[in-house]
Amino acid sequence: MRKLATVGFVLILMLVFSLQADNFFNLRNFSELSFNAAFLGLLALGLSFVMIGGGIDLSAGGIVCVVAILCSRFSFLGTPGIVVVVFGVVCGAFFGLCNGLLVSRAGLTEFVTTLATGILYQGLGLLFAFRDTGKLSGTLVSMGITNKSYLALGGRFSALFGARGALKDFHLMTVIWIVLAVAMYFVLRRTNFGLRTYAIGSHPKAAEMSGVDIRRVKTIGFVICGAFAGLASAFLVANMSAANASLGSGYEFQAIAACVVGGIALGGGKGDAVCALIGSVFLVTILNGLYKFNIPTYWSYILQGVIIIVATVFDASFASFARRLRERRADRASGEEAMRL
Amino acid sequence: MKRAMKIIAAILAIVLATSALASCGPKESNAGTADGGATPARAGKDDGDQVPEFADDRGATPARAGKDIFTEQIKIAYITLAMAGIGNRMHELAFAEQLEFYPNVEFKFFDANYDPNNQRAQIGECITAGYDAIMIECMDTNVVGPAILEAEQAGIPVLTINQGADVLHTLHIQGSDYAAGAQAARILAEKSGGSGNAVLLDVPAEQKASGRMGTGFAETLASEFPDIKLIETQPIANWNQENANNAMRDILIKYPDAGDINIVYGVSDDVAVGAVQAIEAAGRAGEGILVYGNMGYPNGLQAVKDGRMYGTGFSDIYLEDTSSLTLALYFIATGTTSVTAGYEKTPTVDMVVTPVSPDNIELVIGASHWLQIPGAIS
Repeated sequence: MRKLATVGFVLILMLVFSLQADNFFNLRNFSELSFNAAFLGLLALGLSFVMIGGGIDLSAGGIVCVVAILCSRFSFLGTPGIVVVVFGVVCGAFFGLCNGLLVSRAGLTEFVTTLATGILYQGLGLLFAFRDTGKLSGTLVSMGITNKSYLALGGRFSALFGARGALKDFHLMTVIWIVLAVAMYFVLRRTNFGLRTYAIGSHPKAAEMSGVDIRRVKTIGFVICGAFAGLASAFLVANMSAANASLGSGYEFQAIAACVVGGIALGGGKGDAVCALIGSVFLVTILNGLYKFNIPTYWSYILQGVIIIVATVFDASFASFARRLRERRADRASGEEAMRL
Repeated sequence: MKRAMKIIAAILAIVLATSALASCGPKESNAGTADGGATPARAGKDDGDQVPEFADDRGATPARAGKDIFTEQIKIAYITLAMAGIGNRMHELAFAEQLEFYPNVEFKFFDANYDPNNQRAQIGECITAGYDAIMIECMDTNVVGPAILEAEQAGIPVLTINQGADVLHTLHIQGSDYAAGAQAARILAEKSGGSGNAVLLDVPAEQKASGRMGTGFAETLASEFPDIKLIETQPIANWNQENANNAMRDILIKYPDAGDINIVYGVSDDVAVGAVQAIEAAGRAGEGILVYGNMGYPNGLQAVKDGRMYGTGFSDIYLEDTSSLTLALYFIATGTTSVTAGYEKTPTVDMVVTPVSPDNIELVIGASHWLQIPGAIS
């Protein structure tokens, strides 16, 4: 129901933008929109595992930054593109593991830990960035990637497989994002790990008493979150053909916003991977549509903030309404039971 | 749990296999190389005095038909580093005044919020929305390269302002960069008698590759004034006055005696004024520390006028903006891009940086247009 409401909003937005703006309803625009949504969506997808488990991860932006620099450096060794992407995923997963271990083993709070590690990862990005002398004392320089097999991964389908028709304008990252979103939906809904994630997000005490290893599930959640941030970063760098140490700043909040707007509860236990997907599309569609109306950029920030507040209020009201509905049904059922007796 | 792990592993394997297939034989690449798919090109002259040359039948792609810039509907985008900061008020003033003569031009600012990924997306948006020209202050010389190439190949001239891009594009106009830092070093060295200790409050670390005034300052001191020792270099996050203030306070604590610091160069006036505030707060304004800024923002000019700061390098933003817009309109009118003109190298034009000191401060303020912005300068 909540997901349908968001999908409805997305469709209404698209309809309005298509009718009112000249350049919204075309393949080129949907290609751009889907690429931007895919990047945000991959971050949100990873984050959904942490949020559904009742946690929060503020280090996604830092991971994007450091992985971008590492992938950029790795690609200069002439490494095949696919290996660079795998390297990005592994690095992201490693940074996620560090988060997970700090939270679950050292017992630190998620908010403070991931805030700190996010800053730390951003610093590592600066540390590993290219310098003119190759030494730490050297001046930072920007290096364009020339590794063609890696750059191809950031390109459009037409450049990769010579695809024709509707697919040719879309990016590989978009397709991977959709496939992963569907797959993660099943991971969350149909596997023991997914169900345990919901359990610790809904009621951690009850989950623990039922034998769920909370620390392990949480750690895996952080690893997945880091891996997805690494994947998004690796593809983004391939698309941009260079990495910059300022990448990633504030992305974690956009990803959290996408999750919340999509219907993943900040308190945990609600939502799924498809919610993260829808939320990302929603936010990116609004931004894309606003550009078409020549509206100053600050309005898009204001609107994004308002949307997040509205989504949170909507969630709270919707949860309250659903609870009242359940109670009323239960009352009616018990009344009918009493009548029957 | 195991089932979940198996599914995730299987999915990752599929994804990686897809990626592997994809990366095996790309039919083309969007690599940010300098040729960018452009057709054979003619060389222009190297220095900033060059006049753009046009394609002919000896190699360059025939130029697309230009637009009538007085009657046809035209859309121009300006992609900033960020919309915060006083410099943007001057951009708004300059473009608004010039566009009074072109009511048919729709002009839009895009706020990148210091994020190169935003800039990439915004260039994509400009291509989709059919903009006729893009003006951009690049966050990084390489990161937005492919997007700029795509715009150029779509027939949209891209003009980079101050912070350029390594890929081939229609025009780069730069104001205060390496030369401004070198100029500041020479002025301060002369004033201080060619010896002493210098502090550099530099650009944010992640923008070091594109903002080279600090590099110009440091290298000029090292090569031309060996008796001036650069004792501290501190990058200032977000070019922010408060951050500069804090950094300078720490430096003043580290060098507590009069004469420990003789020269301070801030890469923007916000940074330099932050340093002035820290010096004043530490009660060391009487030590004769020479603080020099860059850009000629109102706070910097005001500080020079008030005798709190020794000087600044004035870059005429108004002139730079109106020149850029004029050139953008010219490129639109003639249908010129680096592709149609067949450039081998991006033509680059340097704007003048005027040294400002107490001697000429009134003259500079009068000519600066800052007086037109309410509250900018008194």
